[in-house]
Amino acid sequence: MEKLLLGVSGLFLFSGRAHADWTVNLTKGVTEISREIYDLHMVIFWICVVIGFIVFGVMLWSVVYHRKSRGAKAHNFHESLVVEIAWTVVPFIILIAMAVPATATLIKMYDNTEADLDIQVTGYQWKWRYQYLAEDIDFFSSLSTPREQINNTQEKSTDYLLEVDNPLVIPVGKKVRFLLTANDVIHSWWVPEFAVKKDAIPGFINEAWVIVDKPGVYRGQCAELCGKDHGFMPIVVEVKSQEDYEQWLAEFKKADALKSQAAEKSWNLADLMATGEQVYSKACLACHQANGEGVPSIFPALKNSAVALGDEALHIDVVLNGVSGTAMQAFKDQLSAVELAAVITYERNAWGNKTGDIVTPAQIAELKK
Amino acid sequence: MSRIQNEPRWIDVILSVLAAFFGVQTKRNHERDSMTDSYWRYIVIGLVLLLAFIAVIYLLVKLTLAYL
Repeated sequence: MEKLLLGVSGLFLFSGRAHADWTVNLTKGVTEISREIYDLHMVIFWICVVIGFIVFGVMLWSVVYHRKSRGAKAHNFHESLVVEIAWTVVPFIILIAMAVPATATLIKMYDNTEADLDIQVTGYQWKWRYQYLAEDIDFFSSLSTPREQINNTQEKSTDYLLEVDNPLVIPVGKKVRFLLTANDVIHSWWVPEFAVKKDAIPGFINEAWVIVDKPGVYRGQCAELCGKDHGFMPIVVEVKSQEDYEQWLAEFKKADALKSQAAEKSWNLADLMATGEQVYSKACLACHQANGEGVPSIFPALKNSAVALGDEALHIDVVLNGVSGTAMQAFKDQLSAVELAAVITYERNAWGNKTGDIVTPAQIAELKK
Repeated sequence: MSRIQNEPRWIDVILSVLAAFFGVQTKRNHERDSMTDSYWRYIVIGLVLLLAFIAVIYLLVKLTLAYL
């Protein structure tokens, strides 16, 4: 018994240290709406506490005070109109009283008008795509936690599974409207500090909005079980001041232009293989595995496969346009021409697939047009 | 107990239906209601009051959206 107690208290000590900022309550968040929701939650919580105390208090007192040893005798009456009306009217009044402030907040939450910025958010298995509708900005945001940390061969970082390659960037103090949808299955875009958790459903557009008060990095996760890597598609939102946001916009567009220039220069096999390996681990590895052998009967192998060793055009078509009816996605919009060329070259030359083929970025750039 | 042959009064039917909406009825009224053979007045009043209830909810939502 003592051993068990020691073990249990040890567990609590350990978890206390591992989750220093771990709390049981709802987060207050960083938007006006999220604070209103927090306040509502607290008010309703305390109402429940008071009701609980009164109901269980009266019950306990009655049980003890009218116990048999004191000679209590039960009344055998069948109905009491007064009591029945009271226990119907009182909860009714309490519920209406709670509904008034809750409705006011809900109406605010659903007011999607007059946004300063519209961003389309699309859920993919297993990444997010962000398209700024007024700007020419369109990018994918996928997990950047190294595989070594996931496989426990490296120590896990503080933002383990909550870090991405390209975070969503929005300006502070502006009304940003999100138009949520999905490409394959139902996902859910959830950032607790914004008090936004909205389903992203293929074929539907859901709306949500935020006005964030202070700059910072806010993290969230997919909140709708969406397949194998559901836990590996985090959301990171960087909220920047207006100047920093505009600078980011400019830099993003410059980098985008550089990417299309890179497609025009000539690439050799070694460079493509090096880039291809990085792209592979980001975009393909989750299904086709690090060794290219896939998962038998679920995800096909690339090593010694007919596609990777056969006709180049077919291989390019599969990667760019996907295979309908299977988990193979169309990567045409997800990756740049250089990344696509590199990863296809990599797949045709890695794991003993020594075709020696080079797929050039220029070739892919032509197909992407 | 003998059955009441004459039809129930409309006002009693309305009160009984309202009591049913509320979920509380006196034993006396309940017995009186179950004595009658004529149920169609209860159905008519039930449907009319249901439509009235829906109209009230609809108006409440309209008013809330207009003023909140």
